[in-house]
Amino acid sequence: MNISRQITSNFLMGAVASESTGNGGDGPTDQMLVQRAQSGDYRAFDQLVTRHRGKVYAMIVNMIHNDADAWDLAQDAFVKAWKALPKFEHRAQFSTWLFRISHNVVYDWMRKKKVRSEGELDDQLLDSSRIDSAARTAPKIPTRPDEQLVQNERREEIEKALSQLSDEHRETILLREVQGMEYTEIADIMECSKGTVMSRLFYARKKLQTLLKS
Amino acid sequence: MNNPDESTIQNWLKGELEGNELKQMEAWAEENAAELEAKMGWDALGDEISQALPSEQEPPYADFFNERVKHHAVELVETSPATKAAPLWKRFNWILTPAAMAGMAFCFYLGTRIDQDVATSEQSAAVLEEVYTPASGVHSEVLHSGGITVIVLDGLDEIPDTLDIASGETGHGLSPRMMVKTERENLYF
Repeated sequence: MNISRQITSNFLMGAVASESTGNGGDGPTDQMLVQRAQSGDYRAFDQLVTRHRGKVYAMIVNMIHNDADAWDLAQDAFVKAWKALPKFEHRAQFSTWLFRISHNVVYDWMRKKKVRSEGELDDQLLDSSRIDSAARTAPKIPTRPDEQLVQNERREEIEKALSQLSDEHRETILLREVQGMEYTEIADIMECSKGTVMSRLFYARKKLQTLLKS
Repeated sequence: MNNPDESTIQNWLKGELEGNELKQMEAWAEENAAELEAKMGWDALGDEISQALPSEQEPPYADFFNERVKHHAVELVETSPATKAAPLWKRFNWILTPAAMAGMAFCFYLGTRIDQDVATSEQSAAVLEEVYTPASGVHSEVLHSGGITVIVLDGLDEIPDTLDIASGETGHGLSPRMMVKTERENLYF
């Protein structure tokens, strides 16, 4: 991630970041909420859900390209997080830990889906043009159609290119480029070495470049 | 490791490096990540991806989303997993060993009592055992001796010498076997 992007990202996400890390945010930090939730306070956990649901949901949507399933899987991730909360020892950030749970939920789901379809990939999942625009879970209609049209076209190209990557490569790209995570965090989430993350990242980027150029 | 050549980098990207070569390449990449990224011109691509795909996207019906999470979480564990009381047997784990030993001792005691009860019941059975005697003035006595039971009937009439026991006579008319035989013979007349 370059410096300008880092600054922009920090500026845009300042409120959330400061709240999450506890550096001068108005609300309680993640750590405080986690401690309260660990002692049985569900309202504290509900605040954590509200705080992180956007990132978790976006990550899952980008991974599986299906809003309705992403909605269910994101819920599943939070329910599993609540169940496993007593085991959380604050060695990693709560958000990193939550992403690791989401990672496992998504991979379990994909594995089962592949088994059900006898190893055949459901192309319909990856074709955004087949999503009914009137569906209740369809992406929101852009407010500025003229500007959004161009962005949507590029987004579709990128999504199409991403869909041609392997699951591991796609996830690595999303965690790094979209979520802005460090290599160590990605390695923690994907339960692999830092070197593997870097290797996947470089290979995925190279393939993406080729796909987007063509 | 010195700066790796292009082919080494390509092989690494394809996941074809192994052993020491892989370790050296990973170590070099880790130390020179920024340089490598800049060299390969990934920044523009990263910017494009981050602009195209949102890092955050509220799920549809966000409040309902939270409600569903709560519903499933509460359904899964009625109380918080952190404060959920340990099962009863876990709380009294320390008492399991002495309780087991006490149980064994009690069972042993119960076993000895049952054995005694059986012996007592056999004795009382010998005392209380009675034999029904339809003829008045006849008394019975049951004796157990060396695994043999002897019933002594006192007060019976003497058995006459004319009584043919072998043919089934009992002294009170025809025996049941003789009656059956007579009835069968009468049937063919």
